[in-house]
Order: sequence, then structure tokens, then C-alpha cells
Amino acid sequence: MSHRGPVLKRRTALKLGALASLGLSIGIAPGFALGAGGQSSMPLQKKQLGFLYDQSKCIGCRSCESACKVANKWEQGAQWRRVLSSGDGPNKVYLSISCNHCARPACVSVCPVSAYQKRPEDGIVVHSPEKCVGCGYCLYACPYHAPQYSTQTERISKCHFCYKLQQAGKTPACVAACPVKALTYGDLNELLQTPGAVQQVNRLPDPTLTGSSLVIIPKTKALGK
Amino acid sequence: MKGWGWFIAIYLFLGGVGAGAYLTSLAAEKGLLGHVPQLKRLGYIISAPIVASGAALLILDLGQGKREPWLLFRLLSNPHSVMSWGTGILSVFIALGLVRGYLAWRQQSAPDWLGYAGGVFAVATAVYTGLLLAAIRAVPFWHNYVLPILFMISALSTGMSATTFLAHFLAREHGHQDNVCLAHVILVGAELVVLSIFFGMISAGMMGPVAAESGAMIMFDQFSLVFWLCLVGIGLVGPLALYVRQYLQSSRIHAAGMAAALDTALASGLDNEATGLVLEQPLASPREPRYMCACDAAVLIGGLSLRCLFVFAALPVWSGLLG
Repeated sequence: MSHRGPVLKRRTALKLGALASLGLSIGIAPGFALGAGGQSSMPLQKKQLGFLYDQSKCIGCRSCESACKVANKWEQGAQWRRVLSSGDGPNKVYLSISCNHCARPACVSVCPVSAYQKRPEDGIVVHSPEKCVGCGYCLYACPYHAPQYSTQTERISKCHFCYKLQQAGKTPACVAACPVKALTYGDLNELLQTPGAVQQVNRLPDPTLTGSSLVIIPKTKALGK
Repeated sequence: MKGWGWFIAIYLFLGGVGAGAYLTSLAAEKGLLGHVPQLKRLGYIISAPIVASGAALLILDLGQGKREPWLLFRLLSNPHSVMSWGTGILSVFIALGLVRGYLAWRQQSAPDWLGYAGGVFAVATAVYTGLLLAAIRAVPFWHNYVLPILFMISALSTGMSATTFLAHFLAREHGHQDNVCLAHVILVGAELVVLSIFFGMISAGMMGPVAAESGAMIMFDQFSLVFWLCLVGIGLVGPLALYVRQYLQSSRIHAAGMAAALDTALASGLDNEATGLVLEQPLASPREPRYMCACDAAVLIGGLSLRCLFVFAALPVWSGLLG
């Protein structure tokens, strides 16, 4: 027999309400757990390594790029370090950028297979290609386009600060290759003490988004802007 | 950069449709959608296969999906990752949906808890498809809490349309009785309202300049045809108008039919109790116009367009260039 009572009985309404809220909370919970790609509290670092890049010294020779490519055998389509440029003539500026080994790396938070690890001893963010499923989520999450997708192996790889070279007492390949010492590296806290040091130039993302460890000495205005 | 493409857009769409279809059958079973027997089954039957085929597309899209599929077991390994949560939610929903769908197929009764548990995970699935995008801070167009709400409403709407569409063709039933029509009106109307709020906020720059740029791409630039024609016109405004029209017509006919039945009953000298019984019989509904099926299909086109627009118009917070 059909009923022509109220469409929604109180009991049913309560049940459906409870069901919807439970479903919503299960669905939304990861948003809080995640702190949405960068806010989650990472363990405190003993030390944080960072790159220091001096725009006024860089001559745009791309030695850092090629040294990285050779040392780290980039997979096809992957470009761990890039030298960007803008402007012309005396106003031309460069930026050599790779992974910024952030304090709150979005890649570490979003990777579903935990392929990224932030090393507690030096803050280097290392990616393990052998764990990567190639979902591409980190390509969207990283504001600096550091993760690189290889069309050949269909997985991600990225800059690991040549941590193995560093363990052997050597400097990272890009730093060692720079003929004018425009690219150096060191402890982030010390790098930030450099006179004129900033963490954002041009349209680079807000460094507080993920806590970038890249320090830049911008080209001085005297040289024209 | 290897961006997400069609596979992901279709996957997000199918996740929503499957979850919505399940919830449609659950609502019908609880008597919220009037007396259309097939609505109580069809949604359950199609939900898990639809979500599972979406998940299959996702796996094909993974770089390693075909190469080293055993790596996929690790997909659950990061409790901080929305995608890990989503994998868990989808797996549980597909499992529950398959059981519930099988029972519905065999027309066997299912325990109450199973229906509700599936419902909980259906809601979670629908929310997850939006949250997967909303969690990404580096894409300002995605990173807000309106997006999951929009995707949730669209999931309910497209899921219900898929179910009523099938009810029409497979079971030759008039899927659009009063309550169903009203539910369509509410959902499509709500989606239109939330979509307006979302694009209003985007255009006003409340989500930043890059999000505003994404919004402009969608509304005025390369995606404007898909947005205005496929999503707003075909997917929302058109069906809304026709659903409203059908609702008004059918409730008028319903009232007239009720009055006629009452007259007949009284004229034939039935007592009060017998008259009551006559009135409780579901009325033979008038032939449903063909265009109601077209409406359902149009809502589905709109839902797919919505997912495509969000996937394809995602601009990163930084273009990756210095200039």
C-alpha cells in the first residue's frame, strides 16, 4: 500500500541527515589532515639547506643546467634545473631554478604513494622514482614546477640537491659548474642573512605558500630595471 | 608539463554520476521520490560499475598503470594525501555498491545497514571528486570550498538524471513523477545558484588574479562556448525550464486526476473507507513527453562539461616563466 503522508518522515529525515554528515566528514577529513597541500606541520628540521642565486652575477651560460643533466642523467622530457630569462639588453635578468626543498613541501603532502621524503637531517626533499605511479598530482601541487614528468619512463623525477655528492664531501653539480659563482648553497638561515637577499622576484609564487628555501639576490636597480 | 586531460575529467564525472545514482536509489527506497519502482533498483545497479569504470580510466592515465600495476597498492600509503583517501573511499564504495547492486539486480532485499553504509561512501565519493582539486593550493582556481559543494550538487543531479534516463528506456517507466521532477528542479536550480556564486567570486578577484584569469578563459575566451552552451544552456538552464514545466503540468494533471477519482468513487456510492482506498492507488500517470529523456541526457552533458572545464582551465599560481 502506498502512503500519502508527509514525504519525509522525521525518522527518515534524521537518518538521512546523519548519513549525509558522516559521508561529508569522511570526504572532507583529508582536507583537514592535509592542511590543503602545504600547511601540515612537518617535523622541525635540524638544518635546512637552500640554494643562493645572485642575479647580478649570472651570465646565463646554462652551465648549471648541463652539469645537472649530465650528473643526474635526466630522463627524456625531464628538466631538473632551468635557467629562465626575461627582458632584453641591459635589462635582461636570469633565474636558475630547480627544486626549492621547501619547509612545507606540497609534493610530500599530496603524493598518494609517499614517493617524496623530506630528510630531517638537511631538509632535502628526495623523490623515489621507483615508488612513483606517475599520477601527476605533484605537477599541480608544486608551485615551482620542480617535479618533472618523463614521457619516456612515464614517471616523475626531480632535483635531490645531489645529496649523494654532498655525502661524499663534494658540492652539488650545478653549484660546482657555475663559472661566476652566481649559484651557491648553504644553510638557509645563513643565506637569509645575505645583504639584499629576497625569496621572491618577478611573478614567482609567494614563498610562504610552501616555505621555499631558494634565496635570491636580485639584480640591482642601478643596472637598470 | 604533463597535465591532466580527458581521462581525469571523465573519471571525476563518472565518480559523481555513480555516487549520485546510488543516492537516487537510496532516496527512492526511502520513499522520497514517489512511486517509481525502477528508481529503487537501477541506481544501485549502475553505481558501482560506473565508478569502477571511472577508476579504470584513472589507472590507465597513471604513468605506471600499465607498466608496473603492483605499485598501485601503495596508493593508500600517505594519510596526508587526498588521493590516498580517495582511493580508499572509492574502493569501499565500489565494494559496497557491487553487493547492493547485485541484490537489487536479483530483486532480493538488502539489510538496512548496507544501504546506508553505501550511502555514506557515496556522499564521500562525490565530495572527494571535488576535494581532489580543491586541495591544491598552487592552482588558485581549484583551491576553495565552493568547488566541492558544486561537484557534490552536480553529482547528485547527474546521478539522478542517469537513473531516470535508464528507467525510461530499460523499464519503460515514467521516471518523472512529481517528486522526481521536483528533485530535478531543486538540484539543477541549486547547481545554477552555486555556479553563479563561484564564478561571481572568481570574477570579483576573491580567489586571486590567477583564478580570475582561469575564470575569464572559461567565460569569455577559449572555453566560453563549452561554458555558455554545453554547461549553462544545455546542461542547466534548458533542463531547469523543462523540468519546471513538466512539474507544473504533472501536478495539475495529478490534482485533476485525483478530483476525477474522488467524483467517481462518491458517485458509485462507496463508503469513506473504500474511497480512501481508491485515493491511495497510484494514479495512472499521463504519458511522459519524450523531451524529459532529452533533459536527462542534457544534464549529463552539462556535468561532463563542468568537469572538463575545471580540469582544462586550471592555471598554476606561477606560469613557470620569469617574464
